Amino acid sequence: MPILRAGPWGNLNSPHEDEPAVKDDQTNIYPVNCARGDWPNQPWRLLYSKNTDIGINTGTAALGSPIVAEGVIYAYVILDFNWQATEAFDVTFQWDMTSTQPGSGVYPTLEWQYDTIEGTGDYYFDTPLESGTIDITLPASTFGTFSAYAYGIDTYGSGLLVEASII
Amino acid sequence: MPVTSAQRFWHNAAREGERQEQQAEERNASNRQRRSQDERGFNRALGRLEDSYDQAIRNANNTRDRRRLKAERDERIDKAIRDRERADNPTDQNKTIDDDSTDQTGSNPENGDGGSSDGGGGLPDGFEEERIDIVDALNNPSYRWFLTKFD
Repeated sequence: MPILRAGPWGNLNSPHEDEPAVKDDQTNIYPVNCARGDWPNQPWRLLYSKNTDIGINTGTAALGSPIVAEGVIYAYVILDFNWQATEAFDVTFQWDMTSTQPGSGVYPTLEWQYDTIEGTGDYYFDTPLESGTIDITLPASTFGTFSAYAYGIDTYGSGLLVEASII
Repeated sequence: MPVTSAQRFWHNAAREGERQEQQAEERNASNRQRRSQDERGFNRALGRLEDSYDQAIRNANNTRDRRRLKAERDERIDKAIRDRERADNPTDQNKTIDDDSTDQTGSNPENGDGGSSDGGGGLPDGFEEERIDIVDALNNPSYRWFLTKFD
């Protein structure tokens, strides 16, 4: 059965919010997507936040668009979006962390979770290899919210790059 | 007894009434037949359109193309149906009380479950037609037309 569109931005408590002028995680609202598709007037996108010991940067990105955060000691990328879907669908969480100094290493952690307005949810935490992908199935929902981060600490504090994307 | 001019007048008027009634009945039968043929032709065209898209979807090399084709197919079919309904039904010709003595529009409070008659067969009083985005049954973004009323 079809479902009515929510958004264009929102969260579980307030699914119908206008797109904010300033797009950062302080507003606590995120884009609402139609599964993996584009709305006629709004392409699929997520809100990202690049956080490092150098600075913070936020914005929106498309499906498959890699976000890279560059730090000295630590760097992490947060990816947030909402979805509506009449059928379950898959997304892939991709990450890649590298030290910019030869001989140094990166200690990676990552986490993802989702919750739906119907009350279902899932959560995952890992200390994985420095790069990889995880396939995640998001369920049919009239409104669901997804959040993930990839976090890296440089072993010698000599500089690192953390890349993450939703594919 | 000679026939008076008044009697002749009423006799001719009755004959003329019967003739007009018969003509109207023939016109209605012809209209019904034409509508039925149109409907079958439209459904066949829609089926061919759907078949072409289904073939293209099966031949698509990747999921992204398949999704795009599905969305395009649904949108074109929706639009064709909507356009036909509009062309066929500017004053709701197929669903008036005159056709079959049953008000299927819901505009007559005695027959429907609400609404009020505007006498013209258009939208019920106070309602507007509004396009609203939806997620369709195949996860595609689409839209439907709703009757809405602002309280």
